[in-house]
Amino acid sequence: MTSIEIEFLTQLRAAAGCDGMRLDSTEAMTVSTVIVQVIEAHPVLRALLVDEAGSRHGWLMIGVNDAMVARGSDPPIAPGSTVVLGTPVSGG
Amino acid sequence: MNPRSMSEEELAIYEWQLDVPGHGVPGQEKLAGATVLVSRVGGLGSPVAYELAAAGVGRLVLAHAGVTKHSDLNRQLLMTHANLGSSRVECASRRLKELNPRLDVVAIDANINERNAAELVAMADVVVDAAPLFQERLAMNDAAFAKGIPIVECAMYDLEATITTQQAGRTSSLRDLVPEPPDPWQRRFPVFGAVSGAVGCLGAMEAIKCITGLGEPLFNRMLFMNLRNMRMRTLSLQAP
Repeated sequence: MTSIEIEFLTQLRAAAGCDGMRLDSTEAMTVSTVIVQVIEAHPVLRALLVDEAGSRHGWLMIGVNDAMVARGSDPPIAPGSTVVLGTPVSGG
Repeated sequence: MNPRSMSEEELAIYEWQLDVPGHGVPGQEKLAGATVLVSRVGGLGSPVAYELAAAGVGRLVLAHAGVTKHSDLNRQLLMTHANLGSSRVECASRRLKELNPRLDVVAIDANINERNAAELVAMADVVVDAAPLFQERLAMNDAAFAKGIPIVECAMYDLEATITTQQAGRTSSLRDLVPEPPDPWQRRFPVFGAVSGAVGCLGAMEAIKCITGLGEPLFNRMLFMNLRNMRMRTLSLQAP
């Protein structure tokens, strides 16, 4: 069983109305499969995570265990990992 | 950056920070000879500029268009009620010089854009990005990378904030992280002044570290702060 903690940041947290979620799966997971499952659990987050074609937004900020995931890469997620998902923010 | 020697009065003003290990008179002279561009001087940029003025940075270039509005006053600490309807950057300049009359302020009544970014960035030893629009941030970051000038990227939303420091040849750029302005971002967003103040002070400290060589700036790291639950997380960023 793969168990992953997912933490929502910034606009994702505001849209989801919660700080994150937990994913339990019997299959190996990657960043892409995590995003699919997050959208299943929180359909309201879809537009903040992927474009109309279903591709991950280039500006989506993804962290796995204290390291930011490079744009376009899809690393495997080890059981017990924490995945952080957020949108970029600015000043004002 | 040309370090400038200290007067007796300056040595008295900065004596508490002169005692910081690794700083001392050589570090203070670097601050006095440094120029920092801060764009803009709103919720984030106000505390950045104020802390840099207090720390003894010699010259600040402030870029911010427009006049003070009521909705500025919950967080833009260099603005005043009496300044409503008048130039923001002139008010900021006046407030900063009340704190530090030795400070040289270049007040630009314009926001950074693709046309003026290279010229304004070239005036500075360090840039602090506190702007609200990603077009503005990307233009400024591109210009800083073209010149090899370190740039501190401060941002906030609600009770959260992020900060990282970038420099060409050393770190990835803002464009590497945010290739185009994010669709969902809106000019107005929820935030408390205490949040912008917190990350603004950190931004000022990053600029001070870049100028003086003190400590370890957030190169190739991004600090995420959630002041709602007081969780802090530092993510490593891929080096170039």
